[in-house]
Amino acid sequence: MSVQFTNIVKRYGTTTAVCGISFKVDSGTLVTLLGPSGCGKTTTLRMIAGLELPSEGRIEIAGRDVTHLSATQRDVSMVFQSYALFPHMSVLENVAYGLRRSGIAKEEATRQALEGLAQVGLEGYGQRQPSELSGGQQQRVAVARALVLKPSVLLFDEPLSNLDARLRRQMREEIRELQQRLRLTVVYVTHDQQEAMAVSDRIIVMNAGRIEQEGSPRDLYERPATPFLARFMGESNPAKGQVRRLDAARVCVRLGSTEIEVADSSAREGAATVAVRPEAIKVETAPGSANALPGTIAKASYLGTHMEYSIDTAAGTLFATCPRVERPLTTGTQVALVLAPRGVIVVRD
Amino acid sequence: MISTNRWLAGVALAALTLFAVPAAAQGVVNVYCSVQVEWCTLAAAEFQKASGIKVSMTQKGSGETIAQLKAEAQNPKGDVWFGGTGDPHLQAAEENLTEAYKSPKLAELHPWAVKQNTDSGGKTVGIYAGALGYGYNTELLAKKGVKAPACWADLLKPEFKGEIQIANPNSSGTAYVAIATLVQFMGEDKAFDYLKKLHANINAYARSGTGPIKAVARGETGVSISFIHDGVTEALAGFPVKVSTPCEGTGYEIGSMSIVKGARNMANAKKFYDWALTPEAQQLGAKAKQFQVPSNKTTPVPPEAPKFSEIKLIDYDQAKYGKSAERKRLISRWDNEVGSLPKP
Amino acid sequence: MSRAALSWSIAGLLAAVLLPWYGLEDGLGSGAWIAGLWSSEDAASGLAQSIFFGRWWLAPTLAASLGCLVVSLLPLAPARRGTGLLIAGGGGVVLFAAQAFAVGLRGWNAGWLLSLLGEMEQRQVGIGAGATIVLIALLSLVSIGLALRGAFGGDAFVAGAMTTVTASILLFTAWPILHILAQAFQDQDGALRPLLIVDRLAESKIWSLRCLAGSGGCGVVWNTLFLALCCGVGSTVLGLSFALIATRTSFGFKKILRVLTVLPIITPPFVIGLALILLFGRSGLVNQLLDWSFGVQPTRWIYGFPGVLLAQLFAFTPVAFLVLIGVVEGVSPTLEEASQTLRANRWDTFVTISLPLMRPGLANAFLVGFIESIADFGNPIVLGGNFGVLSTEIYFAVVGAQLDYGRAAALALLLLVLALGAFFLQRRIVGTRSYATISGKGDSGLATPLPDAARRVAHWIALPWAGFTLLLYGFILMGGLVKVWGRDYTPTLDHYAKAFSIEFSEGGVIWSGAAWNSFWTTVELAAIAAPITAALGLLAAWLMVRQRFAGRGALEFATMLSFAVPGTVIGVAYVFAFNVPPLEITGTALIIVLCFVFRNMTVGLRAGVAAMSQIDRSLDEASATLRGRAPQTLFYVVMPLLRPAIVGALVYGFVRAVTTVSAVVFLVTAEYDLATTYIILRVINGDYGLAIAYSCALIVLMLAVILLIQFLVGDRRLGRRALPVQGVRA
Repeated sequence: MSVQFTNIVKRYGTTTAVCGISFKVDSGTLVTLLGPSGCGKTTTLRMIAGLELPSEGRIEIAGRDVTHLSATQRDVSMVFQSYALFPHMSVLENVAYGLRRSGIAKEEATRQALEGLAQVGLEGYGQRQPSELSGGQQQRVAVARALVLKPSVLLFDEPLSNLDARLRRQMREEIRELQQRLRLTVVYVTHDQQEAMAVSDRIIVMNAGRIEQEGSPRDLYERPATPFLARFMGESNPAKGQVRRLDAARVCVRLGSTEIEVADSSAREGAATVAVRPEAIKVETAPGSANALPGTIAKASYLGTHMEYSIDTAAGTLFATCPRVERPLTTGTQVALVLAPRGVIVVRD
Repeated sequence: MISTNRWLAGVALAALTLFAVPAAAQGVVNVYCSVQVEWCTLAAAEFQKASGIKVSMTQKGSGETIAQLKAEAQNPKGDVWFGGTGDPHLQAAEENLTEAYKSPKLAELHPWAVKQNTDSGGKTVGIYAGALGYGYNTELLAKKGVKAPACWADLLKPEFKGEIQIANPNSSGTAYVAIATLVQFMGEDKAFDYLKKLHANINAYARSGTGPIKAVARGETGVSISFIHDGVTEALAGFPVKVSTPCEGTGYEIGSMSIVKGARNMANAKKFYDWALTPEAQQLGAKAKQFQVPSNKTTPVPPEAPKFSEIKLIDYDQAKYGKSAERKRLISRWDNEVGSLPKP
Repeated sequence: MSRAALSWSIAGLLAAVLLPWYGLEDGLGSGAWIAGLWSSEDAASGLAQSIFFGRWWLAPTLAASLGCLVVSLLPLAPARRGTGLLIAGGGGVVLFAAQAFAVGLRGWNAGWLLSLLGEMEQRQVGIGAGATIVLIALLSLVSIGLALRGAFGGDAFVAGAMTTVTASILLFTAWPILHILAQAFQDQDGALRPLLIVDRLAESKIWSLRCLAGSGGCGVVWNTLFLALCCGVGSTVLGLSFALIATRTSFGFKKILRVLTVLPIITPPFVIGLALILLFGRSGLVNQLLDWSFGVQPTRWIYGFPGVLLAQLFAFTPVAFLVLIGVVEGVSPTLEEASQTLRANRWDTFVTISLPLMRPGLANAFLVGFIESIADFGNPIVLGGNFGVLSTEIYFAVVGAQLDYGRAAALALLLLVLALGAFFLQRRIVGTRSYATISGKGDSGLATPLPDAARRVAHWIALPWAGFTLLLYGFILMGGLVKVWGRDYTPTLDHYAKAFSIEFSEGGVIWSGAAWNSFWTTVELAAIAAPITAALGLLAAWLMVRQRFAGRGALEFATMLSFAVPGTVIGVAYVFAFNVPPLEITGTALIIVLCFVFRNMTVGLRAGVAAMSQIDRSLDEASATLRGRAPQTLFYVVMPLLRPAIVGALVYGFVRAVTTVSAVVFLVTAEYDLATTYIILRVINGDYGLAIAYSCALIVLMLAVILLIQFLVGDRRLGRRALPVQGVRA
């Protein structure tokens, strides 16, 4: 049940929301559309659902051309950001709604709806009104409602944005577990990269109506192709550095007084923007090793599991995390920073 | 999609059941009736009894009827227009909305009724006449200690300040008859001088011709300038209304009847027309408590009716003052010289 | 969708072969036409007409229908089939319209056709069953074609609804009204002279500002504008007060209050005016009392601006109330609770959150009050005195001594400009902000009780008004039970007996009362019109709020046309447009029903737009992704949430049909007489007792119908907690 986008363009009047994107979602995988708000990810999702029709291009679902089909005619269902539970129906009626509209007899629809509710752990809640449920329960009802239709593709539009942090983690695990158990094809929209990394098989990062980069969570995190991506995928410190090629697979990056050998096959020589992951910075007390970058602690915060430091260096202010919480460094301490090659990324300008 | 089909089909079906073009079959006559509704229904029933022709009667004011005739001119739906003040009938004749017809009954009519017929080139005929006069509320005048008006000159007296109502000639044929009457026996300039002075005593220019007499009946104004038969009707309804006619002389309306040009039931229309000019038909007015003077000389006149013989009538020139050009001129002069005066 | 195209093609062709093309004198009921389908010139089908009776101009339309069938049968890709249907069906509609308007009762309708093609022997009368179904089929095929090409989200229902709404509004609103408005630019003989409008409108009677200088009356335009502004603001304030009391307080007599606010809307015209005169007129009860007790000299203040405004506020506050109550209910309690947690007290919350959220509703209520006021004719005519407004001026241009359609049309144009101004002002105020407050997220908040100050203000405004209404209606009720209203107060039942007596004979019941005929006609036509009015109005609202399409504003404005143009002009416009072929329907019940529907659908539309803009779009979308097709979404999701608006539209559709007078004066016939025209004749006759008895009977009827509608449609369940009775003031 794959989804295939070919050269899709969506225009509203004179503004272009999506400008010519192509991608493929493989059957049984969970693909996330990730990007800042206004990047076109929700419009793309709505085009899969059939709630918007593309201005140009071609959409296929499970090998069938659905470009001009309305939402009803496509075999997809969607979980909305606001849940969109019908306020005048009971929970059971909500879940049975799609089944009834598909022409399934009432008793059978009720049976399947109860099954759906059980699947999301809401046995016995059928007769409640949506307004009588907590946020997480409403979320589950919305998922059950979409799930009972056994759609080719299940769509999630920022489903967790209305939940608190703990519930968010629990719900995203449940969604992932459900997807894997039922081998669902899922397209998931979020602006939260952590959430995206936690649930996805693949991530498509969008920006300003275009696909910025596409790949597995690890690819994107470790090899962001642009400064935007480096910034967007997890925390990173942008710094100005000098690149010198060592051989086909490696370059030497110079940041302030330190030099690091980084595996890279494409970066050009000369000045470049370098992203440094905060967890790749090892903070040692000065003077430290020879190749270390000297700096001064500007700010220090205790977060229970780790420390966070802001450090002034010759390459700019760098933000670093340090798992050693038992002997925290105080503001003003002179330190030496050792950079792990894995967390130093040369990005295109 | 199925429901779209069903829905549209339902609309189509509903449209079909409502489709039925109005009847124009044999044995029917469509009458637009501009007298009081009791009179209309009585006339319809009696004609049906006398002739066996089914009467389809629609009651409307004369202004509304001529508007309708004009709108329907391309494809007329009415056959006869019965009753209503003479001016719109003359106007309809002028605009070629009605058909000339010479009834064998013309010989039995009063001269003023026949004159209406000849003036219009045979396109309309008088069926009744009503004189213009004053209606007054006896209780209100008694309370104020004012004597009832008997002459046009009385109306200018200061004790009538804010007590008199007349209709606006822009909208009412009655008011126009009053102006034309004054113009005819005073001369135009003097008549307008009189109207300007009268303005000080007027509390409102009502929109409809019968408005002022109803205001008198309800005690909203002391005196009205109206057709006196309308005053009689109010009095019979139980209101403290009496009528009088001006000592200097007064004008009158000729209630008329015309056949619609291109009538679908022309033969029946003529039968109705002839019948309406007989004494039997004309006494139905009195039966319906309407006391105009019938146009057939032999129609018996009930005692309540104001007698034309006791009223000083002027020689009202229906032909001249019924022309739309003359009317437009007089009304616009009234608008400029009287209607625009500040409220007294 | 291809099956639908096929069935419509077949339906159209069957209608062209098996049903009489033209209208029949005695309708289809008798079945006599079946024998004449091929032989009688009157009853022949479209095919027979074009082959045997020389009406060759019908052939192209029939060929287009056949073309549609061919396109439906060919194995084509959806988009190409759509294009084919669009070309064949659209061509058919154009050809249909062309022949219908070109050939009329007397052959060619236009001079240039005559000179071009020579004298035409044949002529044609109004279209009948066959032609109507062919036209509907062609229009349906066009919409299916559009949907197949991906328009309207590829949904044939939406496309069909769009076509239905657009075509019917064009045919029954835009065409007749533009037709008559064009006369503003024509002289008496129909020749085009555009500059005439300047002459017609350059009158001091229209524009004078003398009243500001204190010397005489102002022009009718200023009168109209000032009155409408006062009426719009007044009715909105009153309506809001009632709506707040009804939904946000624990006021004990809410039921009575609701009935009271509905009473004026179901009162036949002229009755309120008459009652006001009898209460406040110079010889009215109040003045007599003041005269008797304090020696205050009775005056005639009720005649003119104050009286008209008072009567209009009576008449139009209920409409504002109906528009506002759904909106007030729809304001999300959570937002108000949010505000209160943000250090806002109840008053701040009310002023900064609740009121602004009601802004679309307030603007709508104002617009309705404003436009109702400028189009109102009954109250100014009864109470206006020397205070003239545009609608009375127009009336007298049509029926008065002037008989000048050109002037009437010019004035009507002016009136439309005012309506247009209000319309755009409303759009500016509401703007493009989102006011969605019924979202798909369960909302269990507790409706915030009104702050004390607001509650007191609402009570102070609404309760005296309610008391006043009670007094007035008591007085009216009495009017039907006494001998002569305002004069002889001996109790009697004569008026009711005269109107509604029933006799029993061996043959059964004889409805011998004078009013029964018009009564049953009114009930029947209003009962047919009301559901159509509501359905069309809400459907149009749904399309306007939920669909993006070009010409939305134009369509919305077209619906305002029939609402803003005074009834008299509508009536004459309908006679002009529908007295001649192709749509010859004067004298039938159909034209009265159509007039009701297209004149009254605007309120349903506005209420629907206001209510729908509060419902989160994601609910519709959720239904769509859950296999709910557009009609199912409409039925299962939108309609249950729109219940208050549906009740409003149905009630309004019925009630206005029963109480309309100026628009139908020209449309009623002996066969289809209506209650209001009957009542007006009685009033003109001075027979107030019967008129009032009849009016009371109508009021009772309409109350019963309203209760029935409320019962059938039911309330909206949002699962919010009920407002507990306020034991102590919080």
